[in-house]
Formats: sequence, C-alpha cells, structure tokens
Amino acid sequence: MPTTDQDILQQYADQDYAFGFETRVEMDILPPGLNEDTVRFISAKKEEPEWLLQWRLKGLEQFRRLSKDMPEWQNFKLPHIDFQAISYYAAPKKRKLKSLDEVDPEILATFEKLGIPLEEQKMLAGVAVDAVMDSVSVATTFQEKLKEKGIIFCSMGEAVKHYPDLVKKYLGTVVPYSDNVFAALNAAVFSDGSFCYIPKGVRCPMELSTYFRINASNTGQFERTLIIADEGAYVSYLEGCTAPKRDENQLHAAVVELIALDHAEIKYSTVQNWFPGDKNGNGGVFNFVTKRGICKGPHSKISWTQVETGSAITWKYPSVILQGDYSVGEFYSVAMTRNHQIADTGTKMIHLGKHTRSRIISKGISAGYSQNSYRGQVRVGARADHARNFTQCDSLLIGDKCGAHTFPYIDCQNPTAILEHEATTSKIAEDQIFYLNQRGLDNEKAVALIVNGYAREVLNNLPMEFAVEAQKLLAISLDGSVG
Amino acid sequence: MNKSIFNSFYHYLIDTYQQLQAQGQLTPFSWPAALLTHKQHAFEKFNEQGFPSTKQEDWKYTNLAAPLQQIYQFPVVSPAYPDLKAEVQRLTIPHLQAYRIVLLNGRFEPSLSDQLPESMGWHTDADALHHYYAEEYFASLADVTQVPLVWLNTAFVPGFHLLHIRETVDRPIHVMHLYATQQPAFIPERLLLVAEEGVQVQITESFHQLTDAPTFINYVAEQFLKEKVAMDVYLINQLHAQAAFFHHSEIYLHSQSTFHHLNCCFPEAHFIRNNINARLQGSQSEANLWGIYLGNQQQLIDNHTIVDHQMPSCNSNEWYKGLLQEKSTGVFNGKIFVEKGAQQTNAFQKNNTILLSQEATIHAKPQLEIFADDVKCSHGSTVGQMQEDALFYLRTRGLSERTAKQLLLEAFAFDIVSKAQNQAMEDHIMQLIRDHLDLSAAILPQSASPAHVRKT
Repeated sequence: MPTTDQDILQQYADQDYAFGFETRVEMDILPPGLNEDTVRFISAKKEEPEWLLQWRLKGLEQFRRLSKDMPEWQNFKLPHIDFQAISYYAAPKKRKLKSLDEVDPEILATFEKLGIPLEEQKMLAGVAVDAVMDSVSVATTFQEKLKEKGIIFCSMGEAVKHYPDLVKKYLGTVVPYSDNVFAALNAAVFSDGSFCYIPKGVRCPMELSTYFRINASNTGQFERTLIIADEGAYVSYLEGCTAPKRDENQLHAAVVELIALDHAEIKYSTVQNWFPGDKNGNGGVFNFVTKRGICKGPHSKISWTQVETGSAITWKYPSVILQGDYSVGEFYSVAMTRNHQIADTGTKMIHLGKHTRSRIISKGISAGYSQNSYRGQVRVGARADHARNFTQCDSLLIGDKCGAHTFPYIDCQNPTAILEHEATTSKIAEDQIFYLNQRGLDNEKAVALIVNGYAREVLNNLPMEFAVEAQKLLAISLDGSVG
Repeated sequence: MNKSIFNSFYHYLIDTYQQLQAQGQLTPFSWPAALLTHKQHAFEKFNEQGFPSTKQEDWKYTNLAAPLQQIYQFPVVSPAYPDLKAEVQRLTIPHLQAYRIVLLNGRFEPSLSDQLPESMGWHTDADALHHYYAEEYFASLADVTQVPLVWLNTAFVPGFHLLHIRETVDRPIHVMHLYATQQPAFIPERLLLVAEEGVQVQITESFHQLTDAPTFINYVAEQFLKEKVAMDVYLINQLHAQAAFFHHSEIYLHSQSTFHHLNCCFPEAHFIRNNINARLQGSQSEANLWGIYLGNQQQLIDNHTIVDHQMPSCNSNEWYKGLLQEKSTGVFNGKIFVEKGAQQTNAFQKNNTILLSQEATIHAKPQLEIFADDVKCSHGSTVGQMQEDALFYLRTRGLSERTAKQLLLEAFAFDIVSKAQNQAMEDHIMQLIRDHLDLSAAILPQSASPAHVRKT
C-alpha cells in the first residue's frame, strides 16, 4: 500500500492546526527582559508578602546559576532560548469579576470555539472551571458550591492573599526552586496558576478543571499549580491546553505540585494540544513542565494521566515520590508526535515507603519526521521493602522517517522488590488492516480504530468529559492522515 | 564544567607517554607510520578527555575513581612465575579439547601454547604490525566509538595480537589470559580478529590472575566477520578481587554472518566493565548476546552492550541475567539501535536480575532507539527474587531448602548457560556458577504482609 501510505503522510503533514485563532483582549504587558526588577514588579503587582518575594529572588539566583549550563542529557538538541527576549507578565486588564456576564465576550467566544462554554459547564458536567487566560484567572465558577464542602479552589494569587499559611507550608516542597533550570525560572517569575486544598475526609464532588491558553505574543507562561489533598480526601483535577497559531516559539515552563496526605487520593489528568509548529517544524510551543507529586501519608495515591498531542517540544516527566507506606503511584500517557515534533516524556517513580506500588503505561505514536522518546525511572530505596512496579511502554511508528526511543532506568536497592519492565516497538501490522478492510472499514477508519485501541488503556483512565476531548484530539491528529 | 577524572594515575600515564616518546621508546618494536598515527591521535584524545566520571551518562553508576586511586605501573618484564605449565593445565577447560593460546600479562607465551593448525594464523608483535590486515582494520572499529578507555588502550598498547581465521577451525580455540605481577600493574591488551568468508569458529577467552597485586586490565578486541561467518565467543571472567577489568569488544558483521556471544562474569574482580558492541553491517546477519553475571563481596559488574542494526533483514537477540550476592552491584545497559533503512528488523532484549542480599543493588537501563518503521523490537527487564510458591512446591516434594534454592537459581541461570553451543562449555560455566553461589546466604523471599484495609 505504498500509494496510500504516501497519501496518508501527505495529508497528515498538511493538516492545519485546528485551534489556531487569536483572541484580542487588552493586555497589561511587562517589557521583555529578566532581572531582579522583573521579579519585584511581578511580586508587587500581585501584592505578595515579603517571604514570597524572597523565595522568588532565590529562584532567580538559582536560575542564573543553572542557566549557565543548560541540560544536555535529553534526547534532542535544546534550542537556544533567549530568556531576555521574553515578556514575563501579561494579564487581561479587567480582573475582578463576580459573574460570568462580566467576562470579556471575546474570551467567552474563545472558550466557545474550544467547545467549553463556561455558562454551559455549570449546568452540564458539574465542572468548576478556573479559566486561566494568559496568566491571571478570569473567572471562577462554582466557588460557592465548593466552599460548602470547605474546598479551596482559587487562583494562586488569591491563595497567597487569603490562605498564606497553607501556601507557605507547601509551596516548593515537592518541586523546590533548585530542582531544575525551568523550575527555578518558574519560581522566580510564576504569574499565576491554580491552588486547591481539599480538607480532611472530603471527597470533591466534581472534577476541578483549568483551561490554559497562551494568548499574547511573546509571553511565556509560567503557571504554578499546587494541589493538597488532606487526610482521606479525594480530588480529580483536569488540565487542558490549546494555543493559537503563531510563528514564534513560545516557552511554557509550568510547575505542578501535588501533595497527598494519609489515605488521600489525587487524580491529575492533562490533555495537551499546544501549537506544534507548522509542517516544516517552524514555530510551536516549548512545553518544559515540571510535574511531581508526593504520597506523603500511608495509603495515599497519586495518578497522572496525560494525552500529549501538541507542542514543538514536549519535555516533562510527571513523577511520584512514594513516601508513605502502602502508597500508590500511577502514570498513564499517550504521546503523539508528527511533522517535526519532539517528545521526551515519561515518569519517575521513587519508592521510599514499604509496600509501595507503581504502574506505568506509556504509549507513544510517532509519524512524519518526529522523534518520540520515553524516558522513565523506577527507583527502589533500600528501605522500600516489597515495592512493586509494572512498566509498559509501547511505541507505534507511522512512516520510515520518524523515530521512537525508550530510555528506562531501573535502580533497585532492595531484594524484596519486584520490578517489571516491558516495551515493544512496531508499526501497524498489515494483517490487522487487512482484517478490518475485510469487515468493510476503509484504511483510514481501520487505522483510527487500531490507534484508538492502542491508546485505549490510557484514555480509559481519563474522566468522562476529558476522554471525549482526548479522542477528538487524537482523531484530529489522525484524521485523513493515516490510511 | 569538566566531567572527567584527571587524577594522579592520569598524570602518570601522560608523563610516561611523553617521556617515552621523547626517548624514542614508545613501542618495543617499530610501528608502521599509519598505525603510529592512530596511536598518536588516541593519545591526544585521551590527554584531552581523561578518564570518564559518573557525570557522563555511560558511566553514571560505574565509578572509575575508586579503582583508579591506585597508581598502576607498566609491568616491566614478565615475572618468573614458579610453575606456569601446571597453572595452564589447571585452567584448561575439561573436555573442551581446544587449541590453547596462552597470554601472560598480555604477551604471547609460545612455550605454553599449543601448536596451531594451518586454518588459522596467530600473529604477534612485529609480525602482527606488518600484517596486511593491520593497516586495514587496526583502530578502525573500536576507536571510532569515542570511548576514552579505548583511546587509552590504543595509546599505550605495545603491540597487538592478530587472529586470522582463514578456514573453518576443527577444534575450539581457547585464549587464556593470565596475569601475574608483583607490583600494581596497568596492562593494556589488544586483539584484532578477522574471520574470512564462510568460516566457522568457536573461541573461548578466559581471564585469570595468578598473583594478588592490584591489576588494571584494559582489553580491547576488534572483530571483523566477513560474509557467512559463524562465530561463537565465550568470555569467562575469573579474576581476583584485586583486579579492575575494562574490556571493549567491537564486532562488525557482514551479510549472513551469525555471531553468538556468551559473556560470563564471576567473582571476584572488584571492578568489571564490559562494552560489547555488535554492528550488523550486512543484511541477513544475526547477533546473539547472552550474558550471566554472578557477583559477590563488593563487586561492581557493569555490562554495556550495543546492537546496531544498520542494514535490513537482520535479527538480534539479547538476554542478560544476574545473580547478585552480598554487597555487589550490577549495572546493565543494553542499547538497540535500528537505523534508517534497516527495515524488517527483529530485535529482542531481556534482562533479569535476582537480588540475593539486602545490600545488593542493580541499575538496569534497557534502551531502544529506532529510526525505521517496519521493525519488531521489544525489551523486557525484571528485578525480583526466588518465587516463594516455587520454593514451597519443591519443599513439599521433599527437597531440602538448600537443594530447592539451588535448583531454582540454577534453573534461572540455565536459560543463559544453555545457549552455549558446546557441551563442554555449558558444563564448565554451570560448574562455575555452582562454585560461586552461596546458598546459605541467599535470602528467601518474605511473604508480603497483607495490604491494610483502607480507612473509610
């Protein structure tokens, strides 16, 4: 089927970015550049307490130190990033809003195009949306309903003002400012993000969700998310990203910290569809995110699910530190790359407590000229008796110009641990397509079916509303592209 | 930021080289100009790069700084060892009936070696240097991999051995590497092997130490297999605790060649690093890398392998198994590359490790890098212990705990040992495993206590 393959790749390569549009909202922008004044400006603008400013400044110092020697271990060449050419603060001008009516209609229209009208969300899925439009929360719904349960769900800015003790206690405890160069940058200049606290024994009645959008040109996004599930609490958090079409590379260096105390559970799901660059590999978002959770208490659980289809470069390893005995970490990922996209993603499971368990399911799909890498670490400390891990990372190759790579690190210091790792790499078998052809499906539908089946194990772990969007995204990426 | 080690041993090496060069005594025999260029180039590279440190990805878990604290010197002359003949006899593998080639401190010992048949050529010293294959292949396989310790070898090796397999050899070949030194010694050693089209050959290389002096062995082997060659190589490492062993094998395979490699690391060299790189350069070739490592005391056993699929329709299989006792550490890094155009590739890799003590550690990194789509590649890696169910089953059949453990661990090793294509080698390797397994210390799996009931 060489001709069809050719057609497929052609169509695939020419596929436009379906969500490429730009919203025009007046912005309050800081001129490009990064120095102590930038940090002080951001901190002052957000009326932050002194300790936070000092923390940011430490982050800046750390960033200056680390950025002298940018990392080289990753499986791609890090493009040069001029940190001085980035504007570190951009906020929509209208800020304090009480009801949705006050929200800029253009922003509402943007969400509508994305298929997530805020108004409908209320009635529909029972999803509270903390919509982040370029760094500052625009509207927050369902606050009252959550308040009843004692759940705090607000922007980071508000959290710093209203719940400084909580923020001070947990901020930077999982991802310290010294963690890596982008985490340091984020600590110095983080603009906003979401803060979530679920009190003892409370099961959050709805999926919490934030939609991020990079909007103004030349503004990197530096979100910082902090989620704390107190003893016995449960929360499911959704994060989704789409970005408008643009030629310039944009840096996205967010930090997400999850803290699960005794018997708490956090489920964090991401659908990422930032602008991947055009078919020649120009432009596109650099998605360099540090995500980490800690299972602090016994019997706690953290689960990461991600569907990554966008970004010119996706570089992140959502990780779990399994500190509490009997704690559980999970990582489910689908990473799809095409054209000249690069993905270097995976997870780390650090087993410290006894009887800790982790499970990693990673599915990579690479097409066109893209390079897709899984990089993961499973570490079992000397005291982590009876730790258990299962890892499966599969790669699917579409076309002969792309690459699929696997770099698993397995470090075990405990003889009672049982660790399993398996990986396969293959293309879609012709007999599978043939079988489906026989059943009356054309090539395109057959491939879509096979790919969906291939990613099913991960998609099944997404909350209902998100699974639909994820399938849509995979479909957009595959539609008319494979046959 | 410098990521290398420049210690006193490094300075000793650099100074020695420059002194010898100034005195015109760099090599005991004159090297052809073309080969000397390789030597000089390698020295410059080593001078610039130094020893790799743990900051380099390929040495992340393998700290050279410890074995290199010692200042090793070049062994001046082979020491008079009381009874080498008896030692050779003792170390001869039972029933193998091989042609024995004995090397002492890297130098060929004709008086201890067997008469070799016409089908193979064994060249050493000046003879090897001026062989027509020397210029063609020397340093053209291993040195291109940019490994500092290979440069070290090229720069300091006084000469090399050339094993030329002209025709199928009727018996296996056993290359016995013996080391006997009084002072701490640095021994660079080099082999160039060329197998002509269509030959079949079995080679066993074993490594033994006769004295207790600290020894740093740096052994590089370049092996070139022409078309339709079938070659089996067995590596048996039985060095003493005082030995630090670095070995790099670079194997090029041409069309329809088959290569079996069985790498056995035994106690008790405190530092073992093997780089085994098989490059499939002709279509329909096949590389099989098998390995068993059994560690004790504070051994570090590091096996880095590369299977590089450069041409279509090649197969590779790799399986490494480890048994780690006491405070030993195992490192396994297996890389499979499938390069652009290497379609119809089948590449499989497996690594299993059993930790038999509370203080043993394993670092495994099975790695795939694939640039072609019509491939079947997989890798699997496990870390675990003896199965309690299996032990229980055997106990109920009346086996003692010790016998049951022995049965299970030998069965674990058997997967690899049975890959030997030669019964004498299989028996020999199995016996070595039996000798080195400490069954009384091997810890039993403890049943996992039931998970707590979730609080509601």
